[in-house]
Amino acid sequence: MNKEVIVVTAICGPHCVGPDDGMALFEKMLSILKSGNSVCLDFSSVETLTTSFLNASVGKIFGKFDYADLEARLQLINLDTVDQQSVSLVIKNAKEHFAKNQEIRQAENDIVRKAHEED
Amino acid sequence: MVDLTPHLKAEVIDIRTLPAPKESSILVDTNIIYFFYYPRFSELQLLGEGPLGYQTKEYPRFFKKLLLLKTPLYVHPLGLCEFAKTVAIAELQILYCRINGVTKVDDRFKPKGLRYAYPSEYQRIQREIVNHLHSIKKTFKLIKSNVTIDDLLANFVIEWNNSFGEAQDAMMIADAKRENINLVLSDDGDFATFEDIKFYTANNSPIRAYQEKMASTAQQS
Repeated sequence: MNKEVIVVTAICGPHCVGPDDGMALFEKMLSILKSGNSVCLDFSSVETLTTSFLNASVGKIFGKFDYADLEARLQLINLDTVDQQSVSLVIKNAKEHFAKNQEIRQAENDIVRKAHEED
Repeated sequence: MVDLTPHLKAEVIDIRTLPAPKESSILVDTNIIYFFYYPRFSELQLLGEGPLGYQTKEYPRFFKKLLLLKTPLYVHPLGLCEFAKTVAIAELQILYCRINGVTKVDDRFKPKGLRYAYPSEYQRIQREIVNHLHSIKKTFKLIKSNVTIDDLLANFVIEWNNSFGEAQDAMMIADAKRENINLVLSDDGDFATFEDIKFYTANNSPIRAYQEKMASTAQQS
């Protein structure tokens, strides 16, 4: 098993903010992980990192593989403490999300959107 | 849906078709921060296979353009408080549903009661929100809001009385104008009712109203 390093800025540039970039990174990760190799995401020189981007990339990959397998084959480096916390939260939420049934997922989505709309 | 056309005062700019401003500073409203930095907002669409809504798709594209242009980005202290409060309420509602095995909050939902009854959960929510605020801090500057009561009366009240926006929106606009910031990025159509601002949005309601107003003005002249 080889480890392939993905330099995040090479795919998304320094500002990782939305689903377009997140999905591009997701596709790259998916291709490597499906081949049986490990992935190391290198976040050096990333200036902006949002949870919207992380959901579409790191979070989404947790819906495709066994968690233990993924945690053994996915490494993230060069994140500061704040971004590490954001990644941890997105992974925790993703695991919870994929464990829920569709009714609960939709109900929570409705709550989150209503909270914003009522604001 | 409210018809904004008779109340339009701002210049409304469709972020999907017009270029991002380069040199002017821009005030970013709470809802945009919520879309980008509250992970649950985009969870269903981005973790699933469903189609992306315009809020999840269009604002990040425009936001990235602003970042690449190095446009100075501002938030208002009230906007950050509003963000924290909205996330906390959403999280408490989700907690309430989990505890009670229901899918919708009902009349028994009392946020204050939950905060006190589940302190470790509330501390978790606080920790997560504080981390979101630290993420936001990396990208945004804060608009100064050291207003006196005289400032309030002179600036905030004018903005509030001359618009249909909520009080906190009027406060944000008053402080932004005092700092010579006249551009606002928001999904809230109320901003179209403030005078002397350029309102950047992907919300179709104010965009359509503005286009109708421009067409009507052109016909009259």
